[in-house]
Amino acid sequence: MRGNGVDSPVEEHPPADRRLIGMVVRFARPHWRLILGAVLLLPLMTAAQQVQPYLFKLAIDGPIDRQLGIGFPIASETIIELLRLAGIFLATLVFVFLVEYLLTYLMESVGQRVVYDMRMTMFRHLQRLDLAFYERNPVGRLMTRVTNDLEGISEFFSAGLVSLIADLFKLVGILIAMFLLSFNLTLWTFAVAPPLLFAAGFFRVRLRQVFLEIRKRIARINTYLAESLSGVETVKLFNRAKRNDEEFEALNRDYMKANLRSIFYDSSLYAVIELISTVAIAVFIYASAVSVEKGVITLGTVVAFVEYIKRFFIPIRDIGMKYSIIQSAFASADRIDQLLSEESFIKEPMEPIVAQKLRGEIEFCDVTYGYKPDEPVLKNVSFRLKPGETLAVVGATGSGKSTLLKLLNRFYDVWEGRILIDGVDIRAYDVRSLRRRIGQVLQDVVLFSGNVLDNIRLDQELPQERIDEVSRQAQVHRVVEKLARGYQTEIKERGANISYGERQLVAFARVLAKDPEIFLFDEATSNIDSQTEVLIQEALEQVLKNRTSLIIAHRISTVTVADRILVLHKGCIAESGTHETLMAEEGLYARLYRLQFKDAASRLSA
Amino acid sequence: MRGRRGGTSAAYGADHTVTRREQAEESVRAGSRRLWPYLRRHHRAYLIGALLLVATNLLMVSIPYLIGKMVGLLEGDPIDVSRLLRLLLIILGAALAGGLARVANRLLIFNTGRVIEYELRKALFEHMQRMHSRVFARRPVGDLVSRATNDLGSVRLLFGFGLLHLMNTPILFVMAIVVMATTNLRLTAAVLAIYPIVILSVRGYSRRMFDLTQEVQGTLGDISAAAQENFSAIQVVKSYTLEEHETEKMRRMSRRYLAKSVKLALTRNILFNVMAAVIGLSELILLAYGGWEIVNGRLTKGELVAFSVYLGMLIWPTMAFGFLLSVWQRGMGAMSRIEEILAEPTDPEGLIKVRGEPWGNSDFWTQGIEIRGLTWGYPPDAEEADGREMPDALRDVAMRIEGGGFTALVGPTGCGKSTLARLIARLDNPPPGTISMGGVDLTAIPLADLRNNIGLATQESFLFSLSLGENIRFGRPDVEFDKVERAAEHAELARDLEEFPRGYDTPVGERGITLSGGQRQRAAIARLLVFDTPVLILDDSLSAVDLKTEERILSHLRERLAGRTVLLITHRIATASEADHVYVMDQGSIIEQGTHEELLESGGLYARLAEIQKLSDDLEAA
Repeated sequence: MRGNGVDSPVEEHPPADRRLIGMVVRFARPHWRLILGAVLLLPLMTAAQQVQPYLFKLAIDGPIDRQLGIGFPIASETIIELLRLAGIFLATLVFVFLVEYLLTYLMESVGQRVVYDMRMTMFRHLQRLDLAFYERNPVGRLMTRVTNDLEGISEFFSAGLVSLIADLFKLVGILIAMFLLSFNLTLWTFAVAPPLLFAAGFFRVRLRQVFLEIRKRIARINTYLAESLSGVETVKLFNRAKRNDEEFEALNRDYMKANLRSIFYDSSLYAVIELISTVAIAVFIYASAVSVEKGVITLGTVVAFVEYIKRFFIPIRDIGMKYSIIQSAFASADRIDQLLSEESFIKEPMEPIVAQKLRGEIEFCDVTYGYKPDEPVLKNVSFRLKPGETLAVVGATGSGKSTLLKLLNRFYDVWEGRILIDGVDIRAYDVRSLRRRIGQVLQDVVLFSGNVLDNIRLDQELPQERIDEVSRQAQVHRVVEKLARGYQTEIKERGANISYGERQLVAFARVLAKDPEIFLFDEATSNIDSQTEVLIQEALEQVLKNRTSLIIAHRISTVTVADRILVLHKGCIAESGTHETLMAEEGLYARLYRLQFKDAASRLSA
Repeated sequence: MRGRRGGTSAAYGADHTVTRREQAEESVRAGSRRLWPYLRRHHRAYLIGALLLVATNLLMVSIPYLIGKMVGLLEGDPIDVSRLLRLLLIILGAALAGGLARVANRLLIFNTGRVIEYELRKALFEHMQRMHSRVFARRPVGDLVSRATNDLGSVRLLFGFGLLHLMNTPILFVMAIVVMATTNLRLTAAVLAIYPIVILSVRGYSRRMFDLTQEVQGTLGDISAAAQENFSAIQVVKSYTLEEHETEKMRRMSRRYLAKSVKLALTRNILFNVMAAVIGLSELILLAYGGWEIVNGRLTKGELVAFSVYLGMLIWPTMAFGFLLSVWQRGMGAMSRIEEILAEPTDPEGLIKVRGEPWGNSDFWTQGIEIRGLTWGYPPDAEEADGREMPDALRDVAMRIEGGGFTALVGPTGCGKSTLARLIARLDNPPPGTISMGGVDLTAIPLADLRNNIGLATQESFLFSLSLGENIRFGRPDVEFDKVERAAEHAELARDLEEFPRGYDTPVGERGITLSGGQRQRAAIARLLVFDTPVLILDDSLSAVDLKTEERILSHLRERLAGRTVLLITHRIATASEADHVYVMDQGSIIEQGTHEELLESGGLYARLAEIQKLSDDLEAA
């Protein structure tokens, strides 16, 4: 087990930087005002910051020097001038404080809004993608896109890009201030630049590699860990724990080693830059003593210079780390971009028909469909349902029953043939308007987090009387009565506090609240206690009223409520007719009926 | 997120009214005791690191002093250039030595943090893999992973960054203050007067940032949960056209996350700005008061420069000291969460002592398994059962799995068949004296020996995201290739392998997602055959394989792998009919037993199940 998840496109597709920058720009563009504001503020802030050492120079060379010349007593002008400079200094402090705050606000807003926009774009896109996409992609992978990868982008804005730009401004500002003070001495000072550039370059490249390595390795550790724990019983059964220990130890050691390397490079870079900044200060002082400008260079200039040099080296230290943040953000952006370029195979027609109120006539004409090429699940299936009619479909597992329901919902498009609703091909409808006219209850009822009421009305606003009505019809009120907080009872994770059968009732109430003209029902195969079973039958009768219904039946009691019965066998219609005609035919249905009935009877007597 | 979950976990006690901070403080106390073993084990690295810290700081503190001296020389007329050059070289030397010492102390202390992280992760993994199955029922995998990554990160920060700055800041301050105070005591006091603000505000803010970070994480957790729910329920979302509703829900949460994140960033920014302002203010004091002292002849200009360099040196260690509290708190809390996992029970060994270790003998495993008076229920979980009594999953089960033969266990879903299989394989622990082999109680056998001899394949056998070949040789990674090939053949997987362009190297994906259900099950059977145990339990492990293929696999088992003890757990009568003896289970009890024919004749549950299945087989065949 090397823990190399399938989900590691980082290694497979190197990010095409330009395309990704394009994507970031696309998402950042709507916030250009904020960005512009930040860009305008940056030089202001830099200027205010770099004025501070200069004020030192003015103080030392001005009032202090003059006072030293005169000796005692201290002149009041000296004090006034010192106070004035101190006042200006204080003003720059306050100014920088405010601007920095504003700048953070602007850039953080841009960053977080871009993340927000990306998240919403991705989510909306995902909502539009068809069911086949979800069957191809495990939920875990999609989760990584909308969480971890977006965090990468967020970090890019908050820690990477913005501070990098701010640092660049700072460096340029300091250089300008230094050159203005003394061109010659600045050149002298930056005699240390070549080794600095060399050292910074040397460590930056290595740090970047190590940081990427670290990210990769921790991802491997996490994958391995999660997998070993999910499959822990298999690990135990096959006596693999020892070997897994060894494999994990190797991953763990690799990770540690990469980290130790990063500590080495990082501390070295830190130490080298500290060394160079000290040397730069010393060289500068020496140079100011021996250079031709001797005498022109005042003590104030020296003090200011020392301060500038100190400031210059701080941002250079962190460049390596920021660079690696940007790099990994690009990898995230690449994966997000790939997701956004996924397309749905269910296409909307050019001029869709919006289904308002349907009569509820359904017709399958020679429908053929399958999930894998050359393996049709339904073969030339044709049948017709009049408005208000109830059709029960019976057949063995894998005979294609549930595919019928999925096709009616237009989760997939048929290979051949047509499905007509009210005489119109379903591909001509606006998909969502069509689905709004169809209600369905599947075997496994999904309850959303939230309370019972939310789960009945879903996205609709319904008056209390209507809620009461549908829950009475669906027999949910009996369930609700037993719950401590009634309709407000929170559904626990995976609906743990509500039984399987009770969930079915909630699903019926959902359909009644939606009030569609077409109803699809895939009956649960699991055992439901007989009390709830009775409630379900009553609820079902209510739901079937005035609706065209297609039900996949597993119980004889359900079959008998249908007007007509369709026996599906290996994707083809084997028999069809009413209960009576089918019984008279003595075919598959008749045998099935007898056996199940007998079984049901024997269970009751047991 | 973690804070909320923590509220119910045992480490913090059951009282739900205690605040998060109280919980954190409690966990700090609990964690402190646990630091010592690690500090003791790595005491040499920490001691040498501390000595090097002293050296580093001595050298670093000398530099501003020397720079001040240089600046002082500038005022001489003429300037003593040779002395200046000498000072320059001394500074160069001191900076070089200081730099080396700094690299060394960081390497020592940060590396130790990483080494401790490594050791703890190793210990965690090894423990987690051996934890009792009940622990896994209580603790979701995501939580365990988070403890082995996020919490471990906090612990590492404590042992590296935390300890370094805990030592570094006081050392540096003492030295810098001594040097500065000998130059000018009053100026030193004046410029450092506001430094305590740094520590106080960092402390205050880091607490606030901790809370805010928790909130941001919580919101992100909500977003993840909502997204997960949505993706898992996508079919319902689509059929009820809830896309817009769901998008709106997501929009509201993302909005909240947006607002909270910006707030967190601003709080962090204020903190760093306060720091910058404090440096600025201390420089301002230096400028005004230092200027005054120069004028009064109590300070030289060179010393002023030295002071300004000292101020720059002190600021970061001061900030780091402020962060220590939250690093400490978080590290300790994380430590206790890790310890909590390490304290979870593992699979028990050696419940009963048996003389002579008869299981070392290969004949031992062909004796068949005897089950007597086995009553067993899943232990009630305090949180889920709400005090309700859990009914026993197995009631007074007695059966004999004949050595070298095929025994079948049949029954409806949920009757307790799989529970029995888990007990035989000791994934759960049978009560002593209920399951035995040749008179030796199963619980007396060391787990490793037991598992090398009893193999189990379940309906949902877990495949790892490895290649198909690696999955098949999972239990015996070093086995020869032809044995793998034979196993694939016996598991009827050979033809599939031919169809895969990459054959045995085909990656099966997470949980074997790229394979069909039947292929997954057959791969799991091949894996079991390579593992080559004398006892095989097939717990519904061919349910997704069609009847004919299943028949072929079973006949391979019977003919080519003869002599093995096989327990077939199934609800397919056709499968059970292959067995020498059949047991029928319903609601945890054995209700019928006999040969296939006998049971058909007796007209009980087995016969009824057979009739239903015959019909559906007829339907298949029609």
